[in-house]
Amino acid sequence: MDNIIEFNAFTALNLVAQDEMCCWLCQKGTSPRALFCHSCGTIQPVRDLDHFTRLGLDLGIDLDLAVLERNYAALKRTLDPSRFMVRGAGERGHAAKQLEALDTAYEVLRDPMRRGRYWLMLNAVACDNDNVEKTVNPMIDELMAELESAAQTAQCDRVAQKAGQAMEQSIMKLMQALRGKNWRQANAVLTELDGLESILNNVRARRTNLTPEGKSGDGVTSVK
Amino acid sequence: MIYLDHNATTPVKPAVRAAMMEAMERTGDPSSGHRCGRTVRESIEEARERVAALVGVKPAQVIFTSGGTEANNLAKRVNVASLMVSAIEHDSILASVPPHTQRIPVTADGVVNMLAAEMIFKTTHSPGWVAVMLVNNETGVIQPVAEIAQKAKAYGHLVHTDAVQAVGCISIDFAELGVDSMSISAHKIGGPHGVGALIVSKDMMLQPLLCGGRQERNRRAGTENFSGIVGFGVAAQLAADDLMEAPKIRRWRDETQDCLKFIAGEDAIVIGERAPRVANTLCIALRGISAKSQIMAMDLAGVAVGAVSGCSNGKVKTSHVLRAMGYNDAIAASALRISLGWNTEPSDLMRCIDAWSALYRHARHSAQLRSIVA
Repeated sequence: MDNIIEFNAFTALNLVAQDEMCCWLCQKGTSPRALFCHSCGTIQPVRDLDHFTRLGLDLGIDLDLAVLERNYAALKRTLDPSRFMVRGAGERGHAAKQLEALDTAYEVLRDPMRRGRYWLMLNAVACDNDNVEKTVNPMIDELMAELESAAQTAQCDRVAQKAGQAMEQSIMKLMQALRGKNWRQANAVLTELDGLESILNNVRARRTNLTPEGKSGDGVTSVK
Repeated sequence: MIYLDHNATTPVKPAVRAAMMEAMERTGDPSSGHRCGRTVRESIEEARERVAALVGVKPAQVIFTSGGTEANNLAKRVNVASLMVSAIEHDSILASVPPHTQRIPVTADGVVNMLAAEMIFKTTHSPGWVAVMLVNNETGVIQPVAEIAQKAKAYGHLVHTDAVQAVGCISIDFAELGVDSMSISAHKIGGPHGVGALIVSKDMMLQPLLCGGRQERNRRAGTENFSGIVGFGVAAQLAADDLMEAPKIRRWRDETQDCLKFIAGEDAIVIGERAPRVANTLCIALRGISAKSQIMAMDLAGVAVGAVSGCSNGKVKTSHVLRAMGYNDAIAASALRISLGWNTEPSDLMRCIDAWSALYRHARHSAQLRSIVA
C-alpha cells in the first residue's frame, strides 16, 4: 500500500497538463505547439516555443540529426506556401511566419556551435566575461601567424585543414561541457571556436588573392 | 470513459468531422464532367496532395483504398517469384500469404533480425516481395526499414512497408525509406474509418485488386469515398501537430511506464523496452493475470486499453508478435497495450495507473489467499 501512495505523489508531480491557447479564428482551445487548430483546421500564429519543440524534438543538447532532418522536411512540406495559396491573407501570413520560424529553428539546431550557444541561452547562461574561462588556445595564434606568412594556396590549405581538425575537437569538447553543465568551459570553447572560424574565413579571403605558385593573382583560384 | 487504445483507432478530430460533414452536403461523382463532379474531383485532389505531403511523395503516387488492409493486399499484386514477410506483420499481410512463406525472424527486442533477413534475401529466388512493417502495432517498436530495403534491393527484391502505425508518430519520407510501396490509414491519425492509401514508387506495376472502373489511374476501381478522402486529407495535414506533440507524449508514456513498474515490480514486463519505440505505445505484461481479465477490470474502472494482437469480435487471442519475440504463451497472453493519442490528458493516465494498480493489488491479494488455503 505504501507503494501506491508514493507513486501517486510521483504521478501528480510529473504528469502536469500543458497550458492551452485559443485559436485566433474559432476561439476554441488548441495546444501551444499546434500548427493547426484541431477544431476548425486553421493554421495558427507563431507561438513562443523553443527551437527543439518547434521541430518536435526532445529538449536536449544531443540530438539525432537524422530525426532533425526528417522532422524538418515533414514540417516544411506541411507549411509549403503553395498549400495556402487559396487561403485568406491571414492564413497565408501565419503560414509564412511559421515557415520562417521553422527555418530559423532548423538552422540553429543543425549547427553544433549555434546549438551550443542556444543551449546556453536556454539555460540562462550569459556569455559574459564572468562565465568565460580565461584560457587562450595558443594554437589559434600559431595558425593566424602561419596564415599571415602563407605565400601559396597549399600553405593556406594546410592552415585550413589544421583549423578544421581543431574545430572538430573543440565541438566535441563543447558538447561534453554542455552535457556536464560546465557553462564556463562551454563559453570558453565557444570563444575558441569563434577564433577558429575567423581563421577559416581569413583563409578563404587570402586564397582568392593567391595563385597556386604563390604570386598575387586574379582571384580565379577555387574557393574552398 | 478514458480512451487509451489509440493504436487500434483514434477519435476523429473535430476539424476532420467538420470537413466531412461539409463534403457530405455536396453531390457529384468525381468522374463526371459537369461542374458538380469537377468540384468533388478538386477536393479529392486537394486531399491527395495533403496525403502525399505527409509522406513526401508526388500526388500521383497515392492510391486511395478502403484502408490499411486493402492497401496491404493491393501492394502484394505484383509479379514476383517469391514472398518474404517479417514474423511480426499485421494479419492483413500474414493471412494473405501462403503458409509456407518465408518468415523473417525478430530479436528478443522485437526488431527484425538483420542477419537472418539478409540470409533470406540472398537465398530466395528474385524478384521476391518483402514486407516489413515500419512500426509494430502491438509493441510500438520501430523497424529498420531503410536498411532492410537497401539489403533486399541488392538482391533484386521489391519491398513493401506497412506504415499504418507509424504515420503521425514519426516523420516519414517515402524516398528515404527506399521502399517500393507503403500502406497508410486515416483512422490512426484522427481521420475516418474506411479510408487509407497505398503509396507506390513511380515505376511500380500493380495488378488491380478491384476491377471495373478507371479510378485512381486504373489502379483501384470504384467510385471514390469522397467524404472519407476529404477527412483523410484534413487528418493528414493535422498529423504534423502529432509530430510536435511526440516529445510530450513520450514523457507521459515513460512516466506511466515507470509508475506501473514501480507498482508491480518484477511482475511487470515492458515489451520492447530496450528497442527504439514510437512515443505513444506502452506494451506491458503482468505476470499471472490474463490480458482478458485485465481489460475487463480496466473497462469496469472506465479505462479502455487494448489487448496485444487486438480483439476480434471481443475475443482476445495470443499475440504472434510476442511469440516471435520469444515470450512464452503465459506472458504473451497477459500483455496489454496502452496507447496515447492526440486527446490524451495527464488525468487519463493517472486514472489508468490507479485502475491498473487496483487490479494488481486485487490479483496479488487473491493469490495470497489461494496460497493460504492451499
